[in-house]
Amino acid sequence: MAGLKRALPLRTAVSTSAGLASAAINFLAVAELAGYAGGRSGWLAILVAGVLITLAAGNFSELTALYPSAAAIRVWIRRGASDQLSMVASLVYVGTVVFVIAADAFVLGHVFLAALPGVPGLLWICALLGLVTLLNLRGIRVAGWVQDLNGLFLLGSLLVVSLLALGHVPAPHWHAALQIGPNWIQALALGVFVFVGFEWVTPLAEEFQDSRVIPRGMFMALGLIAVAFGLFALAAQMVLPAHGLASSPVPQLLLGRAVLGGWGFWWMVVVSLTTAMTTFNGGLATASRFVYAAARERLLPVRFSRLNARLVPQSALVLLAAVALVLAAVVYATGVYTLLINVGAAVESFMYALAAWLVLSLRRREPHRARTFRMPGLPWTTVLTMVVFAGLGVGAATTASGIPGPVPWPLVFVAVLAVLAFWYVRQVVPRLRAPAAAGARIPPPPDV
Amino acid sequence: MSQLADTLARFAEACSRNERLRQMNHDWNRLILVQPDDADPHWLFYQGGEAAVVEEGGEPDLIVEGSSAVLQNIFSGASTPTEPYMSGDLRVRGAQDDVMRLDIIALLIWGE
Repeated sequence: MAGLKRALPLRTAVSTSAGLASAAINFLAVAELAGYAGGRSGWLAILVAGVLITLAAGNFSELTALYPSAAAIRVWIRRGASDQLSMVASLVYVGTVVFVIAADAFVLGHVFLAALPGVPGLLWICALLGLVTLLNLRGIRVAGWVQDLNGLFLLGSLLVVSLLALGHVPAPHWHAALQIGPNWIQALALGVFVFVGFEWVTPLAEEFQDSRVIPRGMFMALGLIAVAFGLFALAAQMVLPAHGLASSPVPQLLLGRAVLGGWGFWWMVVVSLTTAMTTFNGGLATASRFVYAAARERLLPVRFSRLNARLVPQSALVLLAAVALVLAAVVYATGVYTLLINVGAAVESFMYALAAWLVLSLRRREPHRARTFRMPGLPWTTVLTMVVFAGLGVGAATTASGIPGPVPWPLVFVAVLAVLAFWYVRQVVPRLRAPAAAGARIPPPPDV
Repeated sequence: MSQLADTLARFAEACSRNERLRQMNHDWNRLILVQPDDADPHWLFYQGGEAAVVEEGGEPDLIVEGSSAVLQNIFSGASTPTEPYMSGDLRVRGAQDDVMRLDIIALLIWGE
């Protein structure tokens, strides 16, 4: 196999996987799952979720080893199932990226509201999301080493602050660290959300010299996330009062202040800011290029494949930023951020179950194709992954979302999203593809 | 000369003739390895806005892989690169910006 002149190193696989999973909304997910875990065992839910996620990571590793492509799930589902399912799943998946951006914008708004109460949080959301969109439109990309440093800064900060907090916990408090409540399965389902996005490193597979780097990077990142957020959950439950943890939109700032006073508060403000900005940047860059590719194959209207003078897909980028902004504003006004967490956890859990099924399907359909990584223990490990994550997906989708009443709104939201995507693929896509099906090629646009 | 080599030569010529491409790629200097699954490799060199087929190169910036038939269709403009790419029949290794640039080159030569 020929080698590339410029290839990404292992540390970028680790930092990208850890960085994309570590969104600012994770702090709220930890606070929410702590409420369900009972006692002070939120850390255990995160750790067990991490162990289960390694099963999902094994499946993604085999899929990316089989087809290392930026189109990732679009290719895998198409080869392992069908084109139609691939299109539906890809649209739902890219929708999840927008939810995470919106959720992080919500957190960021509250962080700034706590730090600088004179300025409305929504103004900060508009300004920072606008800034990232503008930088992307001008083709200014965050250098790889900045992403690497940022990932290290977040995880390192969580470790230091959490360990400092735990150093002052009196001995009698520790017995509750293993106390498991009746809703612990819900806590486990939400624990999945803490790791959501670790697999978004797979679209970078083409940029590595050896596709085996991706599995290594993902497994190392999962370990780091489990330790950092597990310790954060334990420290937050030990140090902060249960009511304060559950009701605050900025638990990380509360922990920082409790441990190091004003310095700790501002340290966690900076951590939240860099984390959210990384999520905005990574999410918008990845999703806009997906939308570009989807428009090129006429899964989306062709106008979304238009590029500006700096070769950035500007219509796609502006659309995604606008949707994320509207969604963030709605969530900010209503405060129902748990809906986004639960929807994100449910969609990703279902996606992990689907990935397991794809591994089985592709082993059957393409048994002789080379794989640099093989999921061990087939079929039992993949069947176990399917059962566990389908169950956790249902668990997350039926968990209370902060909206009063008996309706499981996350489940309704996911179902509506899937039905809309299915309708779109069946009804709209054939019309978008009609000219190409007739053999016509549209001349290149003047603004590319 | 193989059919693919002939097609690549025509592709390079079309790139060099296209004024918009010449302007867009004036500072895009890349060595591209076109590697069929079932035949010998070919090299394409992009420098100063002009493309040319070269005998052999060193470490490539981009590697384009697929069956001879798929590569033939793409570089001749018989099909867009998107369809075989999304189905896994075309594989491109290298920086994502470079991969996207290659797609834009095909778009500007043959349309959508």
